[in-house]
Amino acid sequence: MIFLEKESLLGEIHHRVKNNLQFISAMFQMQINSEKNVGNKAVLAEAFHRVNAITLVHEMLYNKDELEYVAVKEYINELAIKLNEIVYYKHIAIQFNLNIEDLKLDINHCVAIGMITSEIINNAIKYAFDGISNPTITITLSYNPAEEKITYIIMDNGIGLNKESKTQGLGMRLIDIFARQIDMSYELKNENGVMYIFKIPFINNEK
Amino acid sequence: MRNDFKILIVDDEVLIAEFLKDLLISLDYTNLKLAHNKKQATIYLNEFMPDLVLLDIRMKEELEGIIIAKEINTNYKIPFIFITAHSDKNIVQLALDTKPAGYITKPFKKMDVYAAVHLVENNKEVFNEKYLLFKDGYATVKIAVEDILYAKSDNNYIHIFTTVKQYTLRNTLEWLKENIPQELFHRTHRCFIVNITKITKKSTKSVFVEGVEIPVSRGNHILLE
Repeated sequence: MIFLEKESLLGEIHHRVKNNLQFISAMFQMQINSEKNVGNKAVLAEAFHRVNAITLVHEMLYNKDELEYVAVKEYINELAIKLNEIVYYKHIAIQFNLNIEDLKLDINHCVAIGMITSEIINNAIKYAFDGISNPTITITLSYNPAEEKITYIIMDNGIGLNKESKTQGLGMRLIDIFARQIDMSYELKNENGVMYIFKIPFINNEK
Repeated sequence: MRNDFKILIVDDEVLIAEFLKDLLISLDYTNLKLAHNKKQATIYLNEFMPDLVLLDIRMKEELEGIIIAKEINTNYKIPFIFITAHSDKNIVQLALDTKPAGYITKPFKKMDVYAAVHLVENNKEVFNEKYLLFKDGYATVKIAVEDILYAKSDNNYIHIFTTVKQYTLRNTLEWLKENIPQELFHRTHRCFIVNITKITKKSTKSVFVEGVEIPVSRGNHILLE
């Protein structure tokens, strides 16, 4: 009985967190819509997509009646769809190729991966696809149980980074912050587009 | 710029630690290091030798911050301020038992952080007058200046003799003189600094501290009361 009560209490708290995060998202969107200045719109949209990456984690927790784990495959899929909706700097249809292993991640890992993914995709949409006819973003996630490591790769077929590219901006800083949060290492390759390769220490307690 | 005041931030939420870092930089505290777990914190306590530690209580391991606080008290004697989301009375009590220099609750306000850090910074001079901090190998040593008997220079080294132990460090008597209260110590000789209160006997050419004879060169005599 006590166990059940605790479960439902936890569910209630998750529900409230989710609702409050949705309020925040809604307010961002209202402000974006009422803003006339394009530059201001873009800044607000950037803040919004960051909040969105976290909001989505909580939505997925609640939807699946799982209070601790998130199915990373669905999460990244949803994230990509939402990002494509939010970002309207340029009206281009981006093809997403997702190859995500069916893995359940805890909230910490999911938020960190979500934030990083969101930053990279957003950067790609903003800078990578000028004059590219078939803009594509490919995301793969695989788990190696022997190494206890997740390999996570995000690549685009865009114009690549030039030296003045925003490697000093808040986006890069957030990527670094969330990488440190879950002890992941990463490298950035700049050939035929931009490719990020992450190695994430992860012990799979599921199954 | 407050470059000489070193602050270590210990918080396992990297984003919050970075946010706090930005906030401190905006307050002109620019000499900062971040640690996200106990291991990193220990490394920076030894190598960075902060003047102040901002410490989160709850990290990956429950109450890790309080464990770190106890370690700071035992080994480093550096002031620390808890920054925490806890409002549970038992945990607040546990935290207060470690005698922190401050306690700030999250979400923190800029001026609360400023006031708390500034208070510690102001107290630093008083604190420094009572203690001498230096590195001995990889460890940071803190000794009460009143325990220092005398110090002797020896080429690139100085030997500091205290009531309990002798320390040898790569430094100069000039450095030592700057870091101990002037009214308590006197330079009797090019190679010697003596704790005036420890002198038990005096002649024209020397003074005695716990039976050790220390030379006094011309013009460097001490007036003993």
